[in-house]
Amino acid sequence: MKRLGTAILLGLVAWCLAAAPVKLTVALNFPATDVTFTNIQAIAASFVKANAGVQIDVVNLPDYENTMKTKMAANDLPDLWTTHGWSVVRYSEYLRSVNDRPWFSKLSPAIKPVVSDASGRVFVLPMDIDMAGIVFNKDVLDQAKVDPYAIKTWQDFMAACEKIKAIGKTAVDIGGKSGDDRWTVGNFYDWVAPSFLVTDAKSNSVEALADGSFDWNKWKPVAQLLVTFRDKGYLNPDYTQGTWQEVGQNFAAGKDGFGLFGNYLIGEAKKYNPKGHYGFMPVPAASAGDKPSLITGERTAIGVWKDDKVMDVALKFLDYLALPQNVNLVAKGNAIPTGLAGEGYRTDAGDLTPYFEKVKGFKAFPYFDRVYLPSGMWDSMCITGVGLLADSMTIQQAADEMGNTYRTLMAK
Amino acid sequence: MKSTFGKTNIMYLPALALFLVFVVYPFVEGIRIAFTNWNGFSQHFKYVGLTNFSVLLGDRNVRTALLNTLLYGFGSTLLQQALGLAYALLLNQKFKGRTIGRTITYLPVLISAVIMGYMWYFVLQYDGALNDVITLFGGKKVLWLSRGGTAIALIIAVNTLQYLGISMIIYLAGLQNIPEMYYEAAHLDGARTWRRFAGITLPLLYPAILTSVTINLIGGLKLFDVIRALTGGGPGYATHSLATLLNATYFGSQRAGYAAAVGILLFCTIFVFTIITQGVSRRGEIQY
Repeated sequence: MKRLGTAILLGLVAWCLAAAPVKLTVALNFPATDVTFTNIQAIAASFVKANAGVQIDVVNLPDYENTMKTKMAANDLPDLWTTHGWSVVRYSEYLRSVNDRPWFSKLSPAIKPVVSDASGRVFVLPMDIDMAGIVFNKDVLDQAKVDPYAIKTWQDFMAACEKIKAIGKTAVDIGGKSGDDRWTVGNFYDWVAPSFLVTDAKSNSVEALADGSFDWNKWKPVAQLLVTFRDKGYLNPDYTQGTWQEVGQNFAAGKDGFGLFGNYLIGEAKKYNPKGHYGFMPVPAASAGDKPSLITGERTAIGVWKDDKVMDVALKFLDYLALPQNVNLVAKGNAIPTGLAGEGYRTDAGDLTPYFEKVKGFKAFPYFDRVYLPSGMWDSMCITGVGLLADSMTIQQAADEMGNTYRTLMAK
Repeated sequence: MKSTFGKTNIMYLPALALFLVFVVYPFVEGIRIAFTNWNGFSQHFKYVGLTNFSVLLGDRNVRTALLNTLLYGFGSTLLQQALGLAYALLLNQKFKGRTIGRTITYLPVLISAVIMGYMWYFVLQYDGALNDVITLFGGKKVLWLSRGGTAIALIIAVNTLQYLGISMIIYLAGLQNIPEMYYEAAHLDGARTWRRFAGITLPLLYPAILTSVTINLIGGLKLFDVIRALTGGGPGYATHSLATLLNATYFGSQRAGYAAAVGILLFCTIFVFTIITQGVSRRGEIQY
């Protein structure tokens, strides 16, 4: 009787273990209200429906970047997670290579170099491609009689800013608040720096930035442009205290002409004023000899933890995400191109389609801090930018600070 | 010789274990990390000897943060003592509503410092309540938090307003322990209010002053939440304390090794001032 009881108990335990669902955690850097989050959640639900015994938790980790850094330090990571532009430089140590996946050959040529390491290994599925320029409020530009596509250089851009300022609007909304919103200022540098240091094929600093020999005095014109914008009164009046939320609200309210942000600013503005007319244009060149350009990088890129306990299921879900209907859904949600190309993959940028047509043919460059600077420089860009805006730093001090951090991080 | 093991109280062992795991181990690890170039998340790093400390000595931002830390520590402590004692003296009087007065003064202590910081941010921001009042009277809006000096003063003020209740409570307890007969004797001798305060109240409040100063000084020196909520350490590095700089260096610049060295500097700063306060405390004890 005792033996029988033990056998039944063991049997029950074995049955429970066998019946326990395989649980996947997918960590996203997008908040639960974001369209990407809801789209991934919907895709996960359909995967679960088709695969009995699998359970998927799609989660947004609070303070995503820092939480992920802590998790990496502990080598205790989610099964899958989004890499928000850092699949190679920051996360590749912890991600499984995806070069062997069936969809690998379909990677769009526009994103493949951005997500490849020096040896050609790719660690994420890029579901879409962040293709950005300078966002504008078309109604404001029309009122100020500014043709965004006639702007070729920063000088032209400033002439347009004068026109916008003359009609009583903010030419460039930078946000600018120190603290949680200081990224808005770092973004300004991400948009401006390539035109001074990267895009000009005849004269650029790409090699010097990569080998650690970059002369940080060359940063001064980049920093100077920010100070010039401030001194000429092109920025929002609360340029040291403006929040990201306020940028979206001001844009929607028709108070701003330009925003140096990705097309997510359009999404933000549409939350407040869906009927507004918004578009984007290429980023001007620093000199007349160069051409305007676009900025590109990862948007929704997902990878699998290299030490994942349920690797097979995680890879199966990754392959499922790569199906045309799922890639199309996520890319459409962000109104940007799909990260995979070929049969079945289709870009639907909605209202922005005409603008994507207009910028066709312009060369795209990766986000400045993600490729041309060592990981860890982003904060210095934000802090020195805010310092310049508030006049608590000189341009020389800002360049020195950037240089010091750069040399320290390059020495590793 | 009989073993003393049987007499040993082992009930402290769980507390000791927790102390070892959550205080001693991280502290030792922090010291170890300070000698590395760890970025805070990789499994790979190198030992770099005293490099982090030599860089730290020449780092302008660390000097700014150290100076700010002292300003927050001593500035807040000074104001908290003055205001806390003033409130305690007022609320030690017998009048209707003094209990409510004590409660209101102490209430901010119960609020999270982050929430307190954000509440004040909504007052001080460009489109905040303070600028609304200014524009109501025809004035121009002011960027209150975009100048280092002003922002530091405002951080000290907010921290003071939040924690002066602690000083008030300590001083109230101290005041209630002073025997009434001393005041009666002084009164008979013709001592006026100020004389009674300087000759009786202040000296006999000495233990309370030391307790309050120590608590507020440590709190001020490791100030973090209010700075994070109000300025994030900016503009630039202008309002960083060592605690916020440590956080920014670790997570933002991904220089965990260097951040650990900043942490050791913060530890030493607090340690030195605590030792000084304790020394003063032992020398100046008053018996009555």
